[in-house]
Amino acid sequence: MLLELLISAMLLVGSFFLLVGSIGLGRLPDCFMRLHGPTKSTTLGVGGMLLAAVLSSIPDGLSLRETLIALFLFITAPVSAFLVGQAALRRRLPSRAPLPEDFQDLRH
Amino acid sequence: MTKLCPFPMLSMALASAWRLLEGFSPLHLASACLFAIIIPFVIAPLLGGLPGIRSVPGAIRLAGHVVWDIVIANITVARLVLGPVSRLRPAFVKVPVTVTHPSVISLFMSMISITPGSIPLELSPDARTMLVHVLDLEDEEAFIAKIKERYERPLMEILEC
Repeated sequence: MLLELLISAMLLVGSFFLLVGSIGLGRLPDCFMRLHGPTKSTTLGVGGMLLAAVLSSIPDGLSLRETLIALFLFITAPVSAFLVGQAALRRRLPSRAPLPEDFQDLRH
Repeated sequence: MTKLCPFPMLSMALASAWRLLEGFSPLHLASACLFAIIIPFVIAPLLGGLPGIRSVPGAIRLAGHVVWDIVIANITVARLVLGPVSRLRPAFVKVPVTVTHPSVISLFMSMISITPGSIPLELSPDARTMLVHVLDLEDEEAFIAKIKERYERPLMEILEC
């Protein structure tokens, strides 16, 4: 009973942050700001889901496999954010924040 | 021993990851050991020498900080995203980089990326400055001081670089 409540709470928390990430992706005005939504919120969103999965495995022997998924996610999320950001910089996408001058000459 | 196992930490991490994935039978233990020895050899040229860990408790404390910051970052970003967009103050910030080891720089950038409202986007060619996009910047000096104090200094203390 308590376990079930915990699992549901984790699922709700996880889906809330996933939803917020997607809302951010749609709502924020420029590419650089949009990056923040998915890279941040999805880590905790997916983290919550995986925690729920770990908790639900307790009755038939704890499974920690899900922690590996979380680990891989934390390792790869910054890389994809970095690559999208690099592409946005190189394509000179419009940005609400002014780009510092010495980084403007880096664009080729 | 160092020749057979050039990166003991990496080997241990690989073996435990494999055991978590595949379960705990003797056969899996054997394959885990095999992979833990072979994979570091294959990727050693890509790693170019990893810095050693000087303080394991320090590393655990830093990992705890990062996990805590991920939670805070999510709540912060959720609040910013759901609040009025016109009130956000996005900015590019140039952050001076003190660490020099390539692996440590990439670790530092990854840590900035998953923590409150900031994403590193570019490293200058001399690797002394990085460009960080901040979703809502209040005080540039304070922001730079905070990430250097919270992530870079512990990294320099924990790793031999």
